Amino acid sequence: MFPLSVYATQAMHGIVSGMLLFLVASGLTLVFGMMGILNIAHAGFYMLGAYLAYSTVHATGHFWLSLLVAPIAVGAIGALVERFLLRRTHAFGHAYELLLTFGLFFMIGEAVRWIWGSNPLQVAVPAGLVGSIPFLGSQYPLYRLFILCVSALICLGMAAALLKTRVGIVIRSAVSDGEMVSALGVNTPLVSLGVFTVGSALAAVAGVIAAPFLQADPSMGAVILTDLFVVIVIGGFGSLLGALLASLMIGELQSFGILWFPEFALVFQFLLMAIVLIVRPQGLFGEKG
Amino acid sequence: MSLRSRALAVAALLALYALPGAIDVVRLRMAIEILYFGLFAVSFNLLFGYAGLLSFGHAATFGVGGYTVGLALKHIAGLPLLGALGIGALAGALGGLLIGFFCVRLRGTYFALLTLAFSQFLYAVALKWRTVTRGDDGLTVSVPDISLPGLGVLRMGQPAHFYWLALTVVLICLWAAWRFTRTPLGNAVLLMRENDERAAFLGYSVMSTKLIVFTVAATLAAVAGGLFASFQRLISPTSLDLPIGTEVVFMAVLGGTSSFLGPFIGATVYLLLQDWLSRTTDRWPFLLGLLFVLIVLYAHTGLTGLLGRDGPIRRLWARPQPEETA
Repeated sequence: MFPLSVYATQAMHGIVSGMLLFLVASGLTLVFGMMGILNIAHAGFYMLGAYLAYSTVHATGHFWLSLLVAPIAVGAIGALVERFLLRRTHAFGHAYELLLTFGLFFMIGEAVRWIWGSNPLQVAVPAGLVGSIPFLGSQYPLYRLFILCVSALICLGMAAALLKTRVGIVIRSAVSDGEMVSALGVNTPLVSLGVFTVGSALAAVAGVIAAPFLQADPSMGAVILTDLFVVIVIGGFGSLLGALLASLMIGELQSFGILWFPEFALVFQFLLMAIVLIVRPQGLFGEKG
Repeated sequence: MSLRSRALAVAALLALYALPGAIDVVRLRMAIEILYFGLFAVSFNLLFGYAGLLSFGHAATFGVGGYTVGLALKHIAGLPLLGALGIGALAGALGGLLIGFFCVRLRGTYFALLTLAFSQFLYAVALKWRTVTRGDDGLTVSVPDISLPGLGVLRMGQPAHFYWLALTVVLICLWAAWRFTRTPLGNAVLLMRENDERAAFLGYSVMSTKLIVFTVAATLAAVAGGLFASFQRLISPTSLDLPIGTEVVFMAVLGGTSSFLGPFIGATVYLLLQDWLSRTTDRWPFLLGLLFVLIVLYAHTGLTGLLGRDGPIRRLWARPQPEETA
């Protein structure tokens, strides 16, 4: 067996990658809750974030600048997609909305290969976050702790915004009953546009902070996509709390799966997803079946 | 069926069987690919177009069919190819019954995701269970020739002979699928796509009907996968993966999901287009993706919808009709 510190380190790794996953999943969950659309292109937005981080660092040498550039650029793309593409397909039914975002995801992946090439690109860890600090008897990389802090901060900020502000109240009520909210005089299409934009920007932020940790890789979209599906299904469609718990579960499952059963880590999460869909189709915290 | 359409059908059939005499080997290989991908796309559309169930994991039974044919030919000595394809179809039916049992209870996005989960699960199994599937390297498939008593031998190494086999198998499958859509059961499927609560009120068993469609679609996909494996002489985990599951969605939507043969036409156009684009530019996947998005946005009825009787192109050419007054 392994010494105790290995378990502690693996558990921390699980929390870090779980929180990163949640950062991506949260935008997806909010959009699904509001509009009933599973935006597959969301995974592409995350990947774009990582590549924009690479290009920003490459062009200016400042990593921190990319935390501004990427969300703005990707948020703008998200807004255009919602306003001009998704609304068009709405009349054809959910299947075509799903197909549209699927096609967009595919296009983003190919565009990334086109612009940045097929090889993974390294993004340097920003100065000041290089190295490790002592942690429960072993060393833990500082940058991973940074990922944890950033995602936890965004998570708290989002919770505060949703629970305490007026906009948050409108969003939560639009999630639970969009028609009623719009009958009460709220411009729900505008709210949808806003949520979609912010969700896309959040995916880009996650991509930026993931870039020094995972590299910018043209397959990172497909990799996170399957994780996202699993998280959304296990947590329950549209439930943020569910997405948080499921993200942490998947993070730990992958982290310890690699430690104990390196061959079958991938199989486990699909098995878990299938079991949840069969036993509790609405997920842990979902409402509708 | 009128005499004229009968004569046309016979002529088309003869032309299809005479095709190897008219085109070179490269095009003939393309024709074979069109045959099995066409069948695959039609089987996908039994779910999507007819039952309204969008599956992202239709590659699952395609791969199951391919692996079963490959494994059966490897381990059962003296098994003829048609026997192997039959076993493959049976495995596809069983797989479809099992996967469908869990999936048909869900709708919409949930259904799409669960089918995807099953295909990814099978992909992971095919990748990791190396002793049986040989993992990433794939399983080589050795295909025996078919002897037809009194007629000679179909040599599977010859594209023309394989083409005749594939054409026959695909035509039989398409005919069976077409007959299936015309049965009362097939009609009930359409009713469930439109309104399954109402179907349940009318006394139809929604779950078992959907399960039957799922199983039929899975069986046909497995036959297509079996033909794929025996033609490529190789079956690898990629046959179960998302790209194949994606391609079939492309094909069906491109051709049009509201008609029976639309997806077959879609598969034909898709493969020809892919062949031409990939020789013209390195960016062909991007262009195909763009085409797909444009079709979803502006022509979601697909090519058959565009060119069909009520489609915009026919209307452009049609003589303006006097407007009916009420």
